Amino acid sequence: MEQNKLNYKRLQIGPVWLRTVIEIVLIITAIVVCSYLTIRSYENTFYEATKDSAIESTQQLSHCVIGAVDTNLLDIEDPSRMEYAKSYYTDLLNDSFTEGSILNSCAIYTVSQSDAVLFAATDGHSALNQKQIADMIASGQTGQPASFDYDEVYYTYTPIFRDGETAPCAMLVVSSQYMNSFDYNSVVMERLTTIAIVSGVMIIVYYGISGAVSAYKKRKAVSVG
Amino acid sequence: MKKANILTVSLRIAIIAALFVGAFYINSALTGIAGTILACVLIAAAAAIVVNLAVWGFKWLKNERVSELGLHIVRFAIILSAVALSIFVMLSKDYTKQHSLTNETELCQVVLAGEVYMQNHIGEATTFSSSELNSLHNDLKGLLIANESNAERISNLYMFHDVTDTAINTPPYYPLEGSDNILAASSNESVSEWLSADVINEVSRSGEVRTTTRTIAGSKYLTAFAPVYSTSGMAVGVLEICAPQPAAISVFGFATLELMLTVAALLILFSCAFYGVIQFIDIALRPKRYDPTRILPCGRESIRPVSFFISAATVIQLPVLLLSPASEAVTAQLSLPLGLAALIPFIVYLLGANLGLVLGRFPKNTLKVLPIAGGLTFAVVCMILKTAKLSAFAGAAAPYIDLALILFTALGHGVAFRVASRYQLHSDAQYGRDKYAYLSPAFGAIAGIIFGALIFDELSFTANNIIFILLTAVAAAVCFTMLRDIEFTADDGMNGKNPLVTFRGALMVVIAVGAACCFEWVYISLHLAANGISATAISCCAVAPIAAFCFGNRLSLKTRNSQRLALFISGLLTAGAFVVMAVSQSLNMTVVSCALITLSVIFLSSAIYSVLQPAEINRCLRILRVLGYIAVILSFIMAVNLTGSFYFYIAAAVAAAFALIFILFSRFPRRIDDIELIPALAAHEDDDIPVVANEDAFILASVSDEPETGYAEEPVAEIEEEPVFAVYEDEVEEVVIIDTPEDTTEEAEEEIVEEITEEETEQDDSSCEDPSAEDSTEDDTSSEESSDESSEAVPNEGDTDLSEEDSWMPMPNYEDSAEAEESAAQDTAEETEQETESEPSSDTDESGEESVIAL
Repeated sequence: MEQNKLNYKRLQIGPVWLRTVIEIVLIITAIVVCSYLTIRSYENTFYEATKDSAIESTQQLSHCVIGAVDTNLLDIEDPSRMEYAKSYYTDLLNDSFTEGSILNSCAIYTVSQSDAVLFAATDGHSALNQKQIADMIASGQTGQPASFDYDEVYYTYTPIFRDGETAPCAMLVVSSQYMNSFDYNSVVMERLTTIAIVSGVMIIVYYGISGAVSAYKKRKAVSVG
Repeated sequence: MKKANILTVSLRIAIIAALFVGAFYINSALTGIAGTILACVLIAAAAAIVVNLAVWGFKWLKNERVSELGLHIVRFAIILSAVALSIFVMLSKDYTKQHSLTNETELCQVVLAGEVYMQNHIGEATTFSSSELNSLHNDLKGLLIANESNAERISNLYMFHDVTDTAINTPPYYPLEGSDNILAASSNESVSEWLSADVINEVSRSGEVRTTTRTIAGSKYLTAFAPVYSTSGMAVGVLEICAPQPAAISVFGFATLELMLTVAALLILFSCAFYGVIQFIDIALRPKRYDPTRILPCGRESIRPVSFFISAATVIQLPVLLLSPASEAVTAQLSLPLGLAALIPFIVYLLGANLGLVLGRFPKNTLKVLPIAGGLTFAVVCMILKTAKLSAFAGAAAPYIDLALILFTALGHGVAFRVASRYQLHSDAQYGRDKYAYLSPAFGAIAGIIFGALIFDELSFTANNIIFILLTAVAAAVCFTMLRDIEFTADDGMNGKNPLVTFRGALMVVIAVGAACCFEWVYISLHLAANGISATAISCCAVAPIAAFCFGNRLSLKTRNSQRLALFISGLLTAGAFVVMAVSQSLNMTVVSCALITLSVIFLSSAIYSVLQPAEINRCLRILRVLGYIAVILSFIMAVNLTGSFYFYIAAAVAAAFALIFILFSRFPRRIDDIELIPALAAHEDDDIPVVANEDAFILASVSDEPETGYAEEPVAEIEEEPVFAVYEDEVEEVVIIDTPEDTTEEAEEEIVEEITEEETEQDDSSCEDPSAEDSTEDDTSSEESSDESSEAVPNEGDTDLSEEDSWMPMPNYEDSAEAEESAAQDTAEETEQETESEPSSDTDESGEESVIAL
């Protein structure tokens, strides 16, 4: 059956330099994309880690602080004494959270059936919106602490009960922001420079070795020929 | 250079792994300079063996005559590895530092809140009795709630004597060393290292929260401490909370396993993509026009980028099938378990792909690009419809329409793959088999799996589908462009009659690996996913067996004992992989299990390609294909209950052990050349009958009325010296034996040879190469040697042509001249015999088996 076999002949490819240019472009592209994806991978991992940490952090902080809330102070009707109580809790909460911290905030809301009123909060606390209040009241009705994720900020709502009551009279709100932990842009130029230098050296070495090997083989072939 | 020895390579890899693990544990267990030095020594030793292995690898590549392009890929991978490693270390350092800062901030916050917690429990007390102190210690233990962050944290309380009963200095309170007025207690009662009295007094005086690092029980901890006051404002003591500190460079720390797997997956992805793209460019740069004055307008490598892209386009969408909306809908409608419902899209896809493969077989005697383009276009249309969510408007029938579209998509892919395979067969039959052709679909599958996982992680469902569509469209365009050349040559060379032989490409890779790896691909992947590992990282584990298979079948085991030992080790490692998972289903153990399976595949592939003849391999793989499907489905069903899978692991380990025992006591397969060929083969061998063959030929060729005999007495080398490659149609009367030409185009570094031969080529551009020269270069070592002898002794046009560019074919290269002479003599005898008896020679390379899909 050898007569059925055709002679195989490869045609010449295009100019070698063209392929070389393409190779270099491919390598650089691969390095850039690989670098980008690696950094993304790190950021995602870091993001997930801080996110998980934020959930646990809010629960831990709620656990620590909730014991300090005296429900009797929430029921004061005298406005001046009420202001004093609020001021006291504001100071207590501010003292309980790192000064100037943008990671965490804390607040106490007094709640009724379907409404919640801010009683005291740390300086960095943003007032809850309607959805957050609804979530807070709903979670309070379960009687158990609950955590919610709103735009990269975790909130843990912990109900506060008066003795002998099953409905919460107030809610402790602790929030933790989990995406402001690392501003990689500040060092990114330095890192890109390093990557560029490493990549450049590697490419030069790569083509240097390739060229040397080719030259050696040519010389050897000529001498053999 | 000696032949690659799988056993020594494996031993070195095992030593490297042991050294790295040892360095890691020593670094963790031993503190101080001694531990560091010892760890560095171990790492240096491991690095030395890695370098040694790398040198061996380059020599092996050279000895294996891997092409220039192959070496480019290796260098490409090395460059990327170096860059990735530098980025990896750099980012690890940055993020570890940032992680430490975040930890420190959080710890300060916790200790500040803890101060409030303790103050609330202390109240206004200024003195504490023994029972009150014990109660306070219980409060201290309740300070840190049970969660992952607190798992390794410790809280300590330092109490001043002036508020306590001075008689209390028994556990859990201990007098602080160097101080006569401080008692210390810890939530972890095994802790015996405390802050110094000076630090405590200073913190108490300043009233501020502070941090420091210190060593507790041999581990480094970041600690934050704050003064504790009673509600009346009296200083009671100091609260300290300790958290483990991340290593300076968290190569072995902070989510490292996933990151390392991700980086490795990216490296593999780009190396494989480099292969596919360069193949494409290589061919695209050639003259496009069909030139009848030339022997061929296009090389047979044209099929490579086609296989690559089809394989990649097929596999890339598999991860997203998990997201098929049909799963949930069917679950709800039919009350199926969730795990079983998740399996439905895969089953439908497998059915569609296999149906496509069957349909792609027709018409048998013609080769047209149209079915490929049509199949892929059909797949694209189905995917567009699926992406457009037209099924969402179909109400209750929506999930079934979704499944139907999956079926049709797979059908299109199946048809395209089958027809591409037939092109490969045709090309192989005419010009000599492209023994590395299987790498294209294998690399395509690897790149497809990783890329699919990557975009699965990164992008939305719609964006995923858009990319799948684009990739399939690109594959269609590439196919249409590339295969036209082959179509021309097919018509021109064979008058429309296509002597197809069995294509053994990706199917072999995927199926043979699949039976051993279905567990990993399905079960371990789901297990890793359940642990929150990203799909990209998981894909690295998933493609490792494919790469291992490609590597393993390039290694040869000559002696019967080494072959049996390799099979034995393969079974042992497989059993070990299941036992490991049965012992502990932790993340690390899962990765260890993947590694064991990958090693097992290397041994398995090395062994079966040294032991079996192609026909037997094909038969084996065909059985494995069915088993693979069954095993994948079973794994899915078992995976429904991940936690209750202990018995599954045990059963799998026992099954692997049985396989191991079976290997020990079973006879090795008979030799194919011991089998008498069916008379019809010889009767038709000189007929000018068009031949259309299929893989069934291999089965039939291996079946004979002859009593089965083992070949224990015969050396393996002899098996490889006389390969038989018998192919024929489904109908026996049309059976013809094809002598597939040998391929001497694998001159690995042939740039200079090109120059020398170009002149000869130009002198007679239309002359033919000497077929005998080609034939002399069989895949097996002895044939290659004889080929080399003949080609060197009698230069001819064919040799010069073949040596020009094709850098993927093996190039004769041996160091043992005595062996070469012996092989040359044997080969000469074979050729003489062939001429006399018109006995066909054949290509018996391992790259065979018709490729299905990298499923």
